[in-house]
Amino acid sequence: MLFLDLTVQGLVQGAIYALIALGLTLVYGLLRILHVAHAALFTLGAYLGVIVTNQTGSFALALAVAMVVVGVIGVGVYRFAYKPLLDQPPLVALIASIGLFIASEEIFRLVFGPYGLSFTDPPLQTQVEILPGIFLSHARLMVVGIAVVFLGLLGWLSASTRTGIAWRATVADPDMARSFGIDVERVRYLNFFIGSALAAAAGVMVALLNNLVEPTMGAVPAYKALAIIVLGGLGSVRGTLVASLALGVIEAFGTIYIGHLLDRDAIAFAFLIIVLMVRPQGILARG
Amino acid sequence: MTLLAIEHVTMRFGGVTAVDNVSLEMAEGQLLGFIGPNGAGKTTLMRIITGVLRPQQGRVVFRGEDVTRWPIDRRIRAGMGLAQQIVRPLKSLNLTDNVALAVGSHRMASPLAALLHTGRSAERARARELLDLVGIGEAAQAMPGELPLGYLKRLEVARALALEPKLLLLDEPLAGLNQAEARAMADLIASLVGPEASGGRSVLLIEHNIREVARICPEIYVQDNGRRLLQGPTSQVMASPELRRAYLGGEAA
Amino acid sequence: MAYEIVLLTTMSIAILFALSLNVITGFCGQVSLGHAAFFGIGAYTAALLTKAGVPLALALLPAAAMAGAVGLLVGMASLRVRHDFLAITTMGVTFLFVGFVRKQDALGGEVGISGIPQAAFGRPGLLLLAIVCTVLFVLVALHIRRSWMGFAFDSIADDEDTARILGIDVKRFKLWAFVIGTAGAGVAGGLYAHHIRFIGPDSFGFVESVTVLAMVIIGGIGSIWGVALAAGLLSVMPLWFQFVDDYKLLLYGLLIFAAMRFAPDGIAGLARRIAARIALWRLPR
Ligand SMILES: Nc1ncnc2c1ncn2[C@@H]1O[C@H](COP(=O)(O)OP(=O)(O)OP(=O)(O)O)[C@@H](O)[C@H]1O
Ligand SMILES: [Mg+2]
Repeated sequence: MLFLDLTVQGLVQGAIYALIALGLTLVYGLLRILHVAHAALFTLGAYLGVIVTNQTGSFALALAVAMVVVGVIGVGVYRFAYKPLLDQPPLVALIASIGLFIASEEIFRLVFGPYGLSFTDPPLQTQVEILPGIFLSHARLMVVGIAVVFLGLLGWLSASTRTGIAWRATVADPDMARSFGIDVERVRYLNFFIGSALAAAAGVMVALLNNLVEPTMGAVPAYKALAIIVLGGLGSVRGTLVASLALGVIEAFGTIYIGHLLDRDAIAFAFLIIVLMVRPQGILARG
Repeated sequence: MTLLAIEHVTMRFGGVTAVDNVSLEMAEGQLLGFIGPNGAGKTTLMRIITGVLRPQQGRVVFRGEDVTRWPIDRRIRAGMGLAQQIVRPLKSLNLTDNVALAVGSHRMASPLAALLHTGRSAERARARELLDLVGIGEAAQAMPGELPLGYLKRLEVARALALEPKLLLLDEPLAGLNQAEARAMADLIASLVGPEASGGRSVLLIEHNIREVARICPEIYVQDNGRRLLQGPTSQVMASPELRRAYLGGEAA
Repeated sequence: MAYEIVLLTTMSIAILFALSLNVITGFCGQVSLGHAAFFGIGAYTAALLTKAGVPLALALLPAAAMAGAVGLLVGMASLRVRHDFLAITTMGVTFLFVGFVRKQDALGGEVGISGIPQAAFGRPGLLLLAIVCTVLFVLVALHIRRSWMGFAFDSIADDEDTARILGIDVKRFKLWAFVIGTAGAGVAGGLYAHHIRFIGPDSFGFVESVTVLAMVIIGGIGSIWGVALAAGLLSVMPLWFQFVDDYKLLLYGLLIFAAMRFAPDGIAGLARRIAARIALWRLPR
């Protein structure tokens, strides 16, 4: 029973990781930048989700607004922060990104206050019994549902549309893509829009699960998501999915069985280091 | 005496068998030309000798020791020197320092010894001599990024020479050079070998410039499609119909 | 006077800490996002020893040894991964360290260790000790630069594969860089514990690792003087920014971003460019 329960909890957590990490993988695949500030977009999404829900009473509207607004801001981050740094060694963009992340945590604190926000009337809290003896709130089911829908959509988009094909071509070889007349710059904008919108969705979901958003809520996901995309083989979408779910489940079990030795984050990174020692290129290497 | 023995070496990349059960021996003081059409697996064999690649089958024996499992740097310290087909200069150092580093490589045999040693002027002076020797002395202070391919190919050779190797491995050192430069380089290569040169050095020379190979090498080894096609005295190899067939494909057959 | 002493001690410790990372990341080209863990190992080791009655100057040696020994282990693990994989692996080291300390009652757990004794001769004594350690490390770093080890590091930082073709035993040199760098961080950490006199797991987290890396990069990766200058300035910046209290982290973050955006090769690079400008301007036309 405990086994099943932990697995289910782990998978729910994994679904959230997947939503966050996907945007990060998309950016890495395209630009080879470790985009730490991605987590700031996640936090912003969470704030917008709570604020719009509280103002209008519609959670769906809030989700949509958060995704669109954060998507646009993500494009801005690319245009003004990363684009000028593309010729520099990757470390430069990484540090710049971290600077941006530190600054935005402060901006959230100054704008939204240090104590965090909650839903005045938390939506989707009813519990349902999904398996005998295992209860999940509607909110948790929604998290899994949203993850499946968006990731499915993304898969379809990249496999079957012109835009998706242009995107994959650009990831594989930007110069080649350019010579085929693909507007590489447009692909990058789109990439940041989609990745950031997914991060916002993840933020809204986490806000829903915890019923709390705080300025620093992005910190841990920021680092975990980095670990996940590395585990997944850096830039591999499928690897990222596998790694997200695996990490969610490992953490769920780890906190129960070795929680007295290491905390949750340390367990995640211990797993990361062990995997990398065995497979230095990640679980699923790019290819 | 045998310096290098390659025994039944096979290397596959996915479906491609780049080197197929090849055996080859080199004696001390030998200059062996190594030719074959594009994709024959010449560079792959070179990389197996230096340890960049580990073959799926077979062994590499150097100076009587089985080096098949040795890392690259250990083989270099044991007396190999490599000039690569695709140039890899250290981009943050000028040409002199690129070569000086190789001249002083014995100083870095252990980190502790390296830490206890300062002063680079002797190595730099020797580096400039070597740059002069390969004909690019005037670019001694230039950074690799500022120079055309012909210079960088010769930098590779100077750097390999700086290691004072027993076995010099050259992968297309004449590529990117004009006719006069290629001739001068070939003469230099020939002068590096033989009992009268320092310590009976051996050279394995991969080249597409068959004219220069035939001019300086007493013996030639031909590989095609990963397999040994021919080996023997230059005049015999050059006269053989199989060589023509390998290079011209079906037309000559 | 007391305030200046605190300020100078803070700067000196930060300079030592940043220069120790500079050996790993600047000289040898191995990015580490986990350097604060070694700072922490030194801090905990020294604090436990001085609380048991060992004088600080002596306790710094085991602090360096502990940090260096763990550094050797982490270095061996890091040999298997490169580039971005290395950055994230080392980042994991910080989280492992913090997560481990948190759960150890012997190390004070979540609460940390308080009541760490003063150094001999109080604050001025600590400052003197910090300056001595920092100057010694600067001398070591300068020597490494000039030695053949520094030359080997240059080649490894530039292109590992080529370094191997030159016969350089890349693995062993990298391990040396890790040991020297992490041992230096251990000393810095031991000093820090007796500067603040209270340590907890949160003092050695990822933010601290990033901060020290930012010092190295803003200083100009590999440059001893640039990194020392950047570390000195950045370490006391939060104190100077007191007047903008509420905005100090915001300013700090933006400063890091702006430095990368407008001077990606750091203070050292900026200085080189300005010097080149002046030289050009002086030229007779
Ligand atoms: N790392 C690799 N991965 C996959 N295939 C490879 C790799 N290296 C070489 N090959 C393949 O092995 C075969 C032999 O290549 P190799 O570079 O050894 O040829 P070569 O004789 O040096 O050719 P050239 O004269 O053009 O330099 C080729 O078909 C090549 O595509
Ligand atoms: Mg070749």
